[in-house]
Amino acid sequence: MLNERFAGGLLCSQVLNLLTSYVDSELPPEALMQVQDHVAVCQNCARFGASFHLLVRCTASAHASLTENSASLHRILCSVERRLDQALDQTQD
Amino acid sequence: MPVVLPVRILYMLGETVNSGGVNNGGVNNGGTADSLESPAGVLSDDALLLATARGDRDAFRAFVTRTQPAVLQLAIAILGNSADAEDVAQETYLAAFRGAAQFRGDAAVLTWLLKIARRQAWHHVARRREPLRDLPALEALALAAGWGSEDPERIALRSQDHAALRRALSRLPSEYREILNLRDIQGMPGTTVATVLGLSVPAMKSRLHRARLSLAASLREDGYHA
Repeated sequence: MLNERFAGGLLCSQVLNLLTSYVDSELPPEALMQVQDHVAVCQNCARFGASFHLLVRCTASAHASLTENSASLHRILCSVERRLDQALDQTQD
Repeated sequence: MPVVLPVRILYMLGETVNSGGVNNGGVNNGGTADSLESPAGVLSDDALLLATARGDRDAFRAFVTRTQPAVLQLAIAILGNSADAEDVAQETYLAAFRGAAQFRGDAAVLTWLLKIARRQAWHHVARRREPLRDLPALEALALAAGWGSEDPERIALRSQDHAALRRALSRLPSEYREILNLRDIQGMPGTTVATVLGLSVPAMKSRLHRARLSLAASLREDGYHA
C-alpha cells in the first residue's frame, strides 16, 4: 500500500481522485492550488501525475487521426444505399 | 412524391430553414441559410441532415462521408473489430436516414448520430457482453498502474510506444474503450461524452478516471511481457 502523505491540504489518495480533472484542467481554482501544492512536495504524486498526464496526451496521438477510410466508406455507402433502394422499391410495389 | 431540390437551390430560391428542428414531412421556417452554411460555403451537419430528411441522397452521402470516421471509430472501440463495426455503421446510417425527420435539434447532430451508433453497437454485443462488475477500489487500480511504485515513469515511457498503447487499449472492457475513444481519442468535450453515454457529468468523469487508470495498468502490465 502507498505510504500516504498529507500536503497542500490533501492526502495522496485525494490527489489521485482529482487526477483526471487535473489533467483535463477542470479543477476549480482552490482545488487546483491544493493539488499543485501537494505535488510540489510529494514526489510520488508528482511522478505518477506527470506519467498519467503524458499517457492521456499520448492516447490521443497514438491512434490514427480520424481520416476517412475510403474502403470502409465505400462498403458502408453501397450497402446502405442498396438497402434504402430496396425499401423504396418495396413501398412502390 | 414531391420533387426534392438540393439544399443549395432551396437557398437560392430564398427558402429559409430552421437549423434546430425538422417536422415529419415538413420544415420549420425561422432560421436562415447563413446559419446552416459556413462562410466557406460548406454545409453544416444540420443542413445535411435537413436535406437528408427531405430524401436528398447527395446530402446523405455527404453526411455519411463526413461523419463515418467518428462513427466507425466508436463502433470499433465498443466491438473490438472493424468487420462488426462496419455492420453497425450501416445500421446506424439506415437508422439516421429514417430518423432524420424526427431530429429535434436538442443536441448537436454528431452527438445524436453517435448515440444511435452506440445503441446499435451495444445491441450487437448484448449477448456476449461482459458487464463491468466487481470494480476494484480506485486505489487498487492506481497501484496496478504504478502509483506509489519505484518506477511510475514506466507508463510514460510505454505510452510513447503506439503499438503497446493500442495493445493495452484492446485489453480493456468495452465500456472503457468506448469512453476513452470519445474523450481522449476523438477529443470530445466532457459534456458531449456524458450526453452520448447517457451519464451525468460526474458519472462520466468517474468512469473516465477508471478507464484511464485501467489503461495505465494494462500498459504497465504489457511492459513486463514485452
